[in-house]
Amino acid sequence: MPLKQSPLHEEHLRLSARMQDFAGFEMPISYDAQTGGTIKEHLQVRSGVGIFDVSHMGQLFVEGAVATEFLSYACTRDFHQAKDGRATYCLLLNENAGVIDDIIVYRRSKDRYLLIVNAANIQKDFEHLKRLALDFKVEVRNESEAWALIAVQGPQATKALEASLNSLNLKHPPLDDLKYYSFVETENFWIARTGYTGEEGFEWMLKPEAAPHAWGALIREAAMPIGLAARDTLRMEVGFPLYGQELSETENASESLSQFAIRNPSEFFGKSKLRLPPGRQFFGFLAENSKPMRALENLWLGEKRVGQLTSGSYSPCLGKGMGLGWLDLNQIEKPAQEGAVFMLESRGKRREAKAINLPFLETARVKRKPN
Amino acid sequence: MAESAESGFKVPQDLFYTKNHEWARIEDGIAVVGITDYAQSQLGDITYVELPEEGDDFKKDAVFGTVDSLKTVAELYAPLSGSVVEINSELPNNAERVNEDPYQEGWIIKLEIGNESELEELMPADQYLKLISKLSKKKA
Repeated sequence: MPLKQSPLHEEHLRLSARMQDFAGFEMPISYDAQTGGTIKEHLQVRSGVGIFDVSHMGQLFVEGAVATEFLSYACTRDFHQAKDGRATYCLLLNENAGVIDDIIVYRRSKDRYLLIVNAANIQKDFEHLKRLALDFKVEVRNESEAWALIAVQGPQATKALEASLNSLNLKHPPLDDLKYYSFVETENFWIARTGYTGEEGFEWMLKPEAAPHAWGALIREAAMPIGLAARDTLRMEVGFPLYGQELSETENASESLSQFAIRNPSEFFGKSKLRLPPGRQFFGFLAENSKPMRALENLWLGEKRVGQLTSGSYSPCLGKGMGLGWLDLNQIEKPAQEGAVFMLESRGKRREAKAINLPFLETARVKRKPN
Repeated sequence: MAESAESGFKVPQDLFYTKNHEWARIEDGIAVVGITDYAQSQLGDITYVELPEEGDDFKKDAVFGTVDSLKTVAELYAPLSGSVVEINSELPNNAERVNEDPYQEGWIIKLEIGNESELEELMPADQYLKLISKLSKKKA
């Protein structure tokens, strides 16, 4: 099957991006020739503003008189009390409480919702929701091809986006009035104050034909193009899960890094199979030096394998190898505390990895819990 | 400095090259060893280089260290047999030197050459240039 291309494909080629297959889409991994590499892109988002093409993500619309009841049954959050114009992060579970996808649900009104879903899961989510919808009077529509999505992230995001909208003469409410996890929609585009970096920022959903103009305007406002490689290290530093790494169909949602998103008092699909109390504990892990950690590396305590990394890389802000991973509570005598030291096995060699309560660092939108 | 026409990678004329993308600069019986511009570009952001110790002996083509980038880890192969007389002590704290300046500041080790005749098995610049042109074409 040929790879799908984003409406911004030409822009990426013009910027000499390194392109790679990502969930069936040909997407920019980095813009080395422009930016000097992934680490520089990462640091720019933490200190200035970066833009990401995330048009590969999917848009599913759910509409009907019982849309609120339906989504409160299909998702791990309850939408009866949700406010219009608000976004909610939640999970779709299978019948074994494995995770089908992690998604963001945008409530437009009690009978109209938009779901933003992971690129790799668009078709799967769509089929799953249609199946569940047989018992409800709702319509589920896949409009993924009809929308482009640009994330604008960083301390300068508000300024850059405001200036870009103005330069394109696009009328919009002042961005400063938009609360975190809120959105506004106009006839042709949506703006949500959401993101995947922990920084101040927005996601701008617009028609494919308008996307190159929006991208160009943002570049003129000195926003740096950021590839998916930096998107991965940015999300890891703030402890955000990535589907396929921290989340999968075979692992129980209550033992996942996203268990905080299971908050639904009513009956929802998969609920009865949640594993409680969970048998796993999720931590961040930090290396002593700058050698990156890698997904699937095992964690050892003496001669016992006690856990595994689900993601691994290098933290540009901390200058050390970092990873996300779980510890098996049946293998350790009592729940681990921050600072506990484990041995990480990389290619037959062992080195220390220290458990860290996530996130690794505090940002504008992500705070560490007091101990 | 020579450049590969198709790819734009730097390939200095005065160095010897391996098919594993190491280079060697020969200075008075000492080989300064590093990885090529093509190699650093393929690896992307390098954050860590595992170095041998001074005095370690390596046979030609033996693994003498590793380079970690965000993307992957690559083994380093000795282009020639010899004994390590110096390591680049800048690299533990500044591994990005290998990306920024692979042929000068980003050198990795210096080897006292054990067997001069092995030099004949290494590639001159024009031959290495052909190799990476072919590899870049295959990718495109």
